[in-house]
Parts: sequence; structure tokens; C-alpha cells
Amino acid sequence: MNNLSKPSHSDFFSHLYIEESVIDEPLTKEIISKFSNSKIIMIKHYKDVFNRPNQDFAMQSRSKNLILARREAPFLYEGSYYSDGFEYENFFYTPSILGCLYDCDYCYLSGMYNSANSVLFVNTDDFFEALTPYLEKPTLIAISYDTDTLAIESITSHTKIWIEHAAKHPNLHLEIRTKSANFKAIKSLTCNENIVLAWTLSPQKIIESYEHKTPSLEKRLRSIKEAIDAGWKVRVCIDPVIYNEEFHELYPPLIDKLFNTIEPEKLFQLTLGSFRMSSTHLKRIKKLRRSDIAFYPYEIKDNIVSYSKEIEQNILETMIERATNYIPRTRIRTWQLQ
Amino acid sequence: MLYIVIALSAEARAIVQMLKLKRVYTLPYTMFENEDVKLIISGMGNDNAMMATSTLLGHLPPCESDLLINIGICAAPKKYAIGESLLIHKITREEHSCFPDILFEHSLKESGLLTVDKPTDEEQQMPVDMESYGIYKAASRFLQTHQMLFYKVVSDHFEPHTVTKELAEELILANVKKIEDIISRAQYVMKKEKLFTTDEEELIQKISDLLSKSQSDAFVDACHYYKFHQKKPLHPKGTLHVSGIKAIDEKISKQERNKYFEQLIKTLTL
Ligand code: SF4
Repeated sequence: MNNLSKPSHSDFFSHLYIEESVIDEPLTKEIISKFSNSKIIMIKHYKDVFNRPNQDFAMQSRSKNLILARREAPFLYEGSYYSDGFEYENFFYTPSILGCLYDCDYCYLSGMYNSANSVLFVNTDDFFEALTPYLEKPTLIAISYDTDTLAIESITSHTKIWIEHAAKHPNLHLEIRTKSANFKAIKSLTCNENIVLAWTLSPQKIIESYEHKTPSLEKRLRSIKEAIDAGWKVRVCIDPVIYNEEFHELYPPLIDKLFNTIEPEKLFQLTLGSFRMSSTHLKRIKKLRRSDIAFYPYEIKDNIVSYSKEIEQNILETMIERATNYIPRTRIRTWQLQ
Repeated sequence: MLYIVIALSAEARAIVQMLKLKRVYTLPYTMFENEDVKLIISGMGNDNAMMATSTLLGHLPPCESDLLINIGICAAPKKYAIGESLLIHKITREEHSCFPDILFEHSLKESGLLTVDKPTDEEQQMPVDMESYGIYKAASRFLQTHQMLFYKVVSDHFEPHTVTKELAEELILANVKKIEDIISRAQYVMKKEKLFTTDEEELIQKISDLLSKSQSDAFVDACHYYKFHQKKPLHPKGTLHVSGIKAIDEKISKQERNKYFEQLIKTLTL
């Protein structure tokens, strides 16, 4: 057989899998119109495609597809131990999109799902309804927990829909975490004190090595600046820090670069944390055999893998020392294994 | 390896010629092969196709870079022209569907397909064959969703009496170039570079044999880390970079072994 040099699908979503029950939903129609070249495949249930055994996550990552579906309860999950709940009594995340357009080597999604495709649940109103009983009290919802919502915003308008919902409910607080450079997608919306836009930053070299398909550091910084200038509360997360022999050359200068781009007093918070993951997810990521991150000799404690105490300490101390040149310690949050 | 499953000899003739395959008698099926290809004639029907596929893949289990393609004719609604070739992205039988992944660009029409038990003259909504579902079911025990391709050529518009052996042969013959192109595209995107050279694999094995099971697992992980991170050869001999790991020949005590192991991990991951 002769070998042609033919690439895989260059665009996202060469195939749209659509549950029969959502074919008439307005969002489904809107998405179909945006992807007129995609092949449409009707399915009964998203799990028939998303949960198939024997999918190749790494292979699919090069050519991701989209599944449109209706979510059944549960619509909210309690916030995870691996993330920061910011002391809210009610802290949930919404699984309204599963899977991410980006492709980070350290992403726990690749250790959690069989598929690199994304599922978008188009019945957003059902999520809102499930949330209503909690809105008597301040409630934090992480809307980009199993995804990066802003990355997929031009297709889904998902972030916009949630921001507009939050505008009507003073007890609804949102955390929108992203690596995108897509602030422009929500620029026209009124900013809201209860919403935090949380940008994850990494040194450019780390982005190039591990955060495939994500925007460059420069672009992310520009987006952050725009958001801050427009009055949004912005948290910058340098989390996860990926440790290697270049840590000192890469990470402290990232903090300098950040605060040379934005005015330090305008940053709401800085979050710092080193790489950690459940050992179950790490085992699955190892099987993909894609990156050194999966094979570092981590320490394991209580089913969590992380760098050794000394390295973790070194990372945090170094980063905090540099960051406190710009902002007070009280505005720096850290994640460390207890 | 490329595995080809075809229901009828008439459908296979052009493929056998194109790939210059030789008749072999290793299994109780009509089979053809060359160094890189195994072709099996399954016979008609879902159960026959399932059994032949299981037999073929069980006899010579595939690896992650192998591909299976089912090539055959199908009946289809009138919107598909006779002779049109289709790449199948959904196969349904009764209430169940399965979904081969098509992860490469191509210019063929894609379609869903219904697998039925008998040739039908009843007009259906989509193309219909008698084997694909069985092949997918059997092959999916051995292969990943992107390693299975289903290539169909429309032979009739639900008029099974018009389908002759000659027509089947002619239709496939007219499509051999396209079939070859589709196989090449699928194989191209599946290419995976080997992380370790044969020399490196030998060295890893030799060192692993000196270690306990858990040490050996950690050592193999560290070798992966080194190769991904440093992007340099692991093998200390004959290369520009010397990672510093080497196997030791003499027998060592448990204490020495532990020290040796620690040193290995340090060398590879610092
Ligand atoms: S951006 Fe976040 S969710 Fe998306 S792949 Fe990267 S780590 Fe995973």
C-alpha cells in the first residue's frame, strides 16, 4: 500500500452526533447551521458514542467531534477536593459540557473519559431549575469544570447564557475558568461582581510542550488585560505548575510578565498550585503514552499523586516570594496537599 | 497489518489483484495474503461475517497500528447512484447501533447503514447490507473504533434480483483506486512513532530483570519520562548522548540493588 501524506481532519467537528430528542432544540439548530460541512449522525443516547469502549483518546484529540444531547439529572455535582471551593457553603460544578476543545497532556479529562469528543447538553434550563432551591444562599457554580467553556463559546454561547442567568440571581456566583484568549466573546455583557473570570497561565515553553491547541501566553495576557480593563474580577491561576529542571527560569519570570502587563492592584486574586491528580486518572493517562508528565516519579498519598513535599514547598515558596513583590499575600491562594 | 473482510469471492477478486495477494490455506476459509495484508472471504450474512472476523483476528491478533476494512456492495435508496461508494459512520442492526470513527479527511460520501438478515426488496431509509454489524461486533473485541473501516459500493435500489456476481465484481473493480486511497489515509493518521528503539527496549528489559516488580515498573516509567522529556537516546552505547544508565552483569545484594535502582531513577528523572 503506498503511503500518502494526508492529514487528519483539520477542522473541529467533522462529525456532529445529535441525540434524536434534541434535534429540534434552538441551540441544536444554531450549531448545525454553523457547521454546514459536518456530517450529522443521529443517535439515541450520547453515551452510545461518548462511552464506547475502545476509543483512542489521543487519536481522537487530533480530530475532535461534538455530541449534542439532553442531560438527565443530576445537573449539579458537589465541588471536588482537587479544586478550591473558596469557602462557599454551596459549591457545585455543572456538567453541562463534557470534554474540552483544548488538549492538555496533564488534563484529568483524558484520564476520566473514554472519548476526546465533547458533549454539549443543550437543555440549559433544566440546569437552572436544579439550581433554584440553592439560591436562597450564596452559591458558587464552576461552569467550566469538565471543559473550557470560553474556548467553545463561539459555538455554544454557554458562558453568555450563564452570565445572563447570574445577572438575575444575586446569590448566584460563578467561576469561569479558561485558558482561552476569548474575552471578546463576552465583552459586550455587563460585568458582575459575583462572577470571577479565572485564567490559567503557564510559561510559553510549558504551553508549547503540554497545552496543545491552547492560545499563547501573549494572547491570554492580552485577554486578561481586556477583561480587567472592562471591570471584571479576574483571578489568575498559575496552577498546575509543572516542575522540571527549568522551573526557576520559567515560572518566577511568568509572574513578572503578568504584573508587567496588568496593574497588580486590579487583579482580584492569584492562585498557585503544583500538579496533582488522582492516581486512578494518572494510570489512565499513562496508557495514552503521550507525555513525560504521566511518568514523573510522583509521591502518592491518599490516592493523590503529587510532587514530593520538598518540591511542592520549593514551588510555592519561590512563587509566593516573587508574587508578593507585586500583591499582598492575602490575595494569593495556594493549593497544597495536607 | 491490514485485515480485509469481504463477503463474496466476486467482491474480493479486484482487491486480490490490486494487492497481489496469494491464496493461503491456514484457516477453514478462503483466504489470501501477502506480507502486510490478510484477506478473508466470510460468506454472506451477519453471523458468518462475525465468525470469520473473530477467526481471522483471533488467529493473528492485531496491534494498535493495524487496520481492518470491510469492503462490499450494498443496496441503497434512490438518492444514491448505482456504483457510488460510501464510507459508513453508523451501523444499525435491530435496535442497536455502533459507530466506527472516521478520523481522516476524504472525499467520499458518508452514510449510516442497516445490517439485515436477508436480501430485501423493501425500500429502506438508508443503505443496507448483511455483514457490517457482525464484523464490527467481532472486530471491536480486538480493535479500537478508528481501526475499523466499512467501505460500501451501491449495487441496487432494493432490487436484489438485479445483483449478479459479475456486477459485484465490476463495481468493486471500478472502485479499487478509491479503496486504496481510503486505506492509505486511514493508515497515515494511525501511524505512531515508536518511543524506544530496539536497542533501548533490550536495555530496559535487561535492567528490569535485575529489579523487583515494583522497581521495574517505576524504572520503565522513568525511562518513558526521560525519552519524552529529554527527547534523547536512552542507550548509552553508540549515541551522542549518554544517559548514564547501564545494566550490571554481576550478581548484587538486595541492598546494592536498591541503591542501584535509586540511582537509575535519579539519573532518568532529574
Ligand atoms: S483547558 Fe483545562 S479542561 Fe481543557 S484540556 Fe486543558 S486542562 Fe483539560
